[in-house]
Amino acid sequence: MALWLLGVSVCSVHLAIAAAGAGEPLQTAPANDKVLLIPLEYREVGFTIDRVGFELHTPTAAQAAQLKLPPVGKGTKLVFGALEVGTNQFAFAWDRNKARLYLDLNQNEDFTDDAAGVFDATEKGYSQKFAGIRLSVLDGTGQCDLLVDLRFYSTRIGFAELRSFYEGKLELAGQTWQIGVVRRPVASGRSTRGRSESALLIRPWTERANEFSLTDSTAVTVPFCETVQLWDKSYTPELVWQQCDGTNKPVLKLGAVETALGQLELAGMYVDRLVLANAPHRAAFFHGPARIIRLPVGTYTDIEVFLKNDDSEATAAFDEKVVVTANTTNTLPVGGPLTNSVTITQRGRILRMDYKLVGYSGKPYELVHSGRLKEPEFTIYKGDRRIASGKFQFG
Amino acid sequence: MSSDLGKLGDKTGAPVEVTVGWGRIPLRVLGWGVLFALMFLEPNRSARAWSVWVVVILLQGAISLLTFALGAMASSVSGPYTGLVFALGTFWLLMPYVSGKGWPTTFWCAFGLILIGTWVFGFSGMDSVGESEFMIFLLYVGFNSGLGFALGLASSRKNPHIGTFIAWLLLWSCVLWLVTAIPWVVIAVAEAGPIALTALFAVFIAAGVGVGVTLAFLILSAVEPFYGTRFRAFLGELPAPETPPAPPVITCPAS
Repeated sequence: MALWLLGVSVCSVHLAIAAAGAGEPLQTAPANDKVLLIPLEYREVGFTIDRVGFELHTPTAAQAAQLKLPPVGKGTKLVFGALEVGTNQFAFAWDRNKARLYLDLNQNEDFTDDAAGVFDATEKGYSQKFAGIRLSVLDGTGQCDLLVDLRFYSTRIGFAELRSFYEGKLELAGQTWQIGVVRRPVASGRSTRGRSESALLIRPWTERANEFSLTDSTAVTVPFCETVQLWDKSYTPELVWQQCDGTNKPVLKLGAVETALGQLELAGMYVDRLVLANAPHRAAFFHGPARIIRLPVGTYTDIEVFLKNDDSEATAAFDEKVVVTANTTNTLPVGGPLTNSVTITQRGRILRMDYKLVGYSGKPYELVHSGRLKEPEFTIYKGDRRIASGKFQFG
Repeated sequence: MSSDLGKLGDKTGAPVEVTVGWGRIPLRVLGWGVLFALMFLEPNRSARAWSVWVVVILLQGAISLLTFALGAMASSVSGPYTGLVFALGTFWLLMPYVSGKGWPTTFWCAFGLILIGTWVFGFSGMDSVGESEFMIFLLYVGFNSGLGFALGLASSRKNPHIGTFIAWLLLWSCVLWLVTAIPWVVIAVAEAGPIALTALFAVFIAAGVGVGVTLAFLILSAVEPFYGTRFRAFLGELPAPETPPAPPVITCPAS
């Protein structure tokens, strides 16, 4: 399958953007046959793209004496934490009584010199929210921006909710795709094993207005790995910065790489999108895959699958070791049809029934609903006599 | 079971056949069997001794009604109280064996017997093995009820009277339940905010039910002379028999 790409250079593409109007990035151009350069535009959204939990701590008096604290009244108790984006670390101090957050924007471990780093809570109370915090991080040669909301639920736990990404446009076989780069914040000190620092967003351009999340298992995002297979080609993705009109502009660079390919046979039906990953090494993305897919050989550990049949949709995400070899075609146990199932365990005088929606090989799936999900129902018979019925409760 | 899966699968799932066994019911039956067997100990060989079963059955009926009214979720709450009923029933039947041994021995016997009885019977009636909230609650009910009873006993030894004992029991129960609940409430407030203070209501209710179960047995001792004498001897208000009464010697008339 060939990628049809327009334009001749990154800078000329930007000129075209200017002509087309703001907020409408045009698709990229190949620098040569081996490299795709996709200009990106920063975009802020009203929904949460990624969510990361972090722990807060209260320093001892001796530790506090070492810190260059924000100008707060004597006796004010501050709670501390930190977020990391790549190699950047942003420490923050939270004054719950005043519903105020002090952010070490310039990352010099000094809270006294960040005039723009003082935020008042937009949602006050015991738990507080600080919305619309813009972080700017040095990413290679350019400044990468992030928009986050910080939520503090207690003096121990908080969450950072990401609401920005970089967006580009790509043409593939007559169809236009939205392609994006999501820079992910992480909780300082937390293990990031198996979690990529960034993710690629790939979906039809017509779905651009839809919300998406790195945690909703809809298989529209792919971890930013050393090798990413998009449809039938493998690339090394890279976020680079190129001078254009005197400013550094972000560009997604996809360098084509030759890799040994193997095959997998999809066992079930209705697979609309599929992501296989083993971050940070390799990932593969398929949209409307055939029964047999080709992808780089190696081991994959995380699978996301999106099923679609007319207007019925379901998602699943599970950890499963899948080995792709050059010589054999292994079976990937994903797909439908889906089945309502229940497991029953007796606990003393209580029968516990656990509902599960399962697909091929008993893998659990979740239906995608635009409205309120209807609870599954059950009926119990003793012989032919109906003795009870009811609905399952969520949770 | 059924759920509309649209065009991704059939609405109705395959039927599941299950054979409902007896589960852990036999263990409970065994527990009540032990209590029944205690009736045949020498000090309990009296028709009046069977009145303890009125209290046991009434309390167990009330707990069952409460469980039924609150639904399946209440089973993990009712289990420890069933254990407490068993423990106190056992204690009331074994009381002659621990009376008059001096208050430290009586203290540890009362504490140990109620604690162990509640735990053992509570575990045997557990509907949800391994659920941490059940385990913690069982620990609370057994520990607070047993220690509250024993401390009430120790505190009333200078004025050994059932009224004094009840007053001390209420006081110690309040203290113990509050003291043991504070760490959990503090953690809950730190995690979820002041809304978690409503957990204190649950503590009061739990303490109230525990004290209520104990009071039911004390009322038995107040209204039934057989257990009244026994409990007053246990408190030290009446002298305890040296040993559990020996069976009467029946001399057969010479034929």
